[in-house]
Amino acid sequence: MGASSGPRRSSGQEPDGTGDGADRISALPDDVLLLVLARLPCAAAAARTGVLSRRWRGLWARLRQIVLRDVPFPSIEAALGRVPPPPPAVSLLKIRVPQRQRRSWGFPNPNPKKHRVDSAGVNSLLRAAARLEPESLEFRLPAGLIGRSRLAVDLPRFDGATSIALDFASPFSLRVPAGAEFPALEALSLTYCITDLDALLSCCPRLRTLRLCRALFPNHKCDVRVSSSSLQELVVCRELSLTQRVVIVAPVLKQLSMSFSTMELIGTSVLAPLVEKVSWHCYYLGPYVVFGLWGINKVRLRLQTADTQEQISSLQIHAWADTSLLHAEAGNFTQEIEKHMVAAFSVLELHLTAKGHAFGAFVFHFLGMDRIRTATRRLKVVLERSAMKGGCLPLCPCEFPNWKSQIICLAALEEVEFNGFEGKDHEFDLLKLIIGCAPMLKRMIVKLSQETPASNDGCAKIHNIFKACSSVECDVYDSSGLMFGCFN
Amino acid sequence: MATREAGKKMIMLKSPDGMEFEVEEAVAMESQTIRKMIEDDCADTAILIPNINSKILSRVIEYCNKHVPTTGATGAAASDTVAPAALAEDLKIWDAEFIKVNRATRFDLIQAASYLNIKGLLDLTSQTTIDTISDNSLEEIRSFLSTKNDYLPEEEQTIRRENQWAFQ
Repeated sequence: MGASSGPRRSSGQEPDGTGDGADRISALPDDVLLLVLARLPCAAAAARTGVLSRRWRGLWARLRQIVLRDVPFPSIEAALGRVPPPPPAVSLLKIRVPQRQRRSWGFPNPNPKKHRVDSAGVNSLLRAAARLEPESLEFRLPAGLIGRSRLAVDLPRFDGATSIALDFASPFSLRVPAGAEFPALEALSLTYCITDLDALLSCCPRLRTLRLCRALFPNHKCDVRVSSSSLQELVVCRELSLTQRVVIVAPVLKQLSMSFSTMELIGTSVLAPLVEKVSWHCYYLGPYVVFGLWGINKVRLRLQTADTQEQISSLQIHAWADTSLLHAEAGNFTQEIEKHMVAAFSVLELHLTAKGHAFGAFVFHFLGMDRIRTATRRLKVVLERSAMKGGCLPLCPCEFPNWKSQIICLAALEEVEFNGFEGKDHEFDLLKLIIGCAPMLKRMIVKLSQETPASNDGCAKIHNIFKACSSVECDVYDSSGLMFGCFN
Repeated sequence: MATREAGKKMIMLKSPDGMEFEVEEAVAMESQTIRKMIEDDCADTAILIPNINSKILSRVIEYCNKHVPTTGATGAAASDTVAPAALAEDLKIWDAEFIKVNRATRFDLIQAASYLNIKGLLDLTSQTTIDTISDNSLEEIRSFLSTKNDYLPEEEQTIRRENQWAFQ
């Protein structure tokens, strides 16, 4: 065979001709036709083929991967009613209720007015779905169809289901019948669900993956509480709802992804000793964690140890400076930051919107925290650009007294990267202080900010700092990324 | 099982009309059906492919030859030099050219792809049929598939009523 040039057509074949004109596709075996029907985007199109000829009658109902995405809500139950229950097993039942009705297929529309979906309708549909005992169930309900009153959903038994996803576009409460079990369930995804999660998880002994989007928790509305002895992957997306407390007890959890917002101090307790991958995002919607004139607006923790390619373990903190924060009421700064250290890290990234204020003391305060001091092998300071400058006046409180004379031991620190260096005195002081406190430091990278021209004067200053310690290599880049100088 | 070139295992495929095709094992294993036969050690000498004539089988092999992954010991160099996106684009153009065949051939290819269990080829060959069924009226679908409506009018009405949900 070997040669694989472009495909050639044998002579006598016309690309768009009908061949011998016979109905070749109807001659294909049922299995093949079902493979073709299974590739249709919606089972409604497959069902319409039943009208083509006797050969196609009822064929579609033998599909075992049923996707309904164009069928209006009131008709879905009728559609499910045409499908015979297992065996053979239905591997997938995917119901995506369309927002609007699509064009009519030549049949008079029985009820053209827009249908609202109520609890009874959803529960009846779920019972019809349960009759088919799908291995995987996906049910998505768009916002436009759900009325003002909250849907109360009773989850029927899905004994054979390994995966269930109920993704609704507005809050619904979910109840599980007493004594129900989901013995095979391995993956559960809920969007906008309000449920007694402990009760639900207790009927899912094999659950490995739990995904909660915009979930509300009934008794403690602002708390995320997940406790499971089987869970290996947990995803919680709650950027839009406020969170006060995160309590996770998952002894075999491997992957944790949490994102949430808060308008106050949070409480965290994460017991997941086997976790290999963490993505933790906390957004503070106001100045609740404050040090001097610095407020924290985002804390991010990332851990990735499962992949051997590149191990990431970083604590990233975004902070901004404002003199108005000086009088903010705030909790214990160190304690608040430590609440986010739900896994080990070796990189500390500080993203600072300084607005002209000195940040040396603030950075040094971070480095002085016990857990950061001992864990940080790489420090990255990124000065974010800000349109507001010159907020810093003479005798500004950003100049903390005595910070330059502090001595701490940064025993693990090996590399420092400084992005957006402006060449101010307090910046040079910070560099000097770090070098003096970090005996294992090997490399320092200084990238100048866009407004800072690379000057000989500045270079001489850096040169003087590094002259004293020949063990540290220092590279200076200008804002375009060109290397400006290399010392030692 | 013959061997040709260093390390490349060859497989003999036979069509019912007596033609024999010698192909690399990796190419033949694009077919999950053949892969299973090889893995279960049921492929000592030649594999007879029933129901697929030599004309269709040669096209299927042509497809598999093009689509066999270029990774691995021999193909590593190729995948290093060609960007994956460019490779995918090249394949798409090749596929579009490959599928310019008449309907009879296309349906034969669908059947072959189904029997040999070659997902990519089944996707490619059934796409036109899928598009037609999704987007056209019943009359247009019948005309495309050359299917004759053998229902009595009242029968057709019954079927429509049974599947009324699908016509909304």
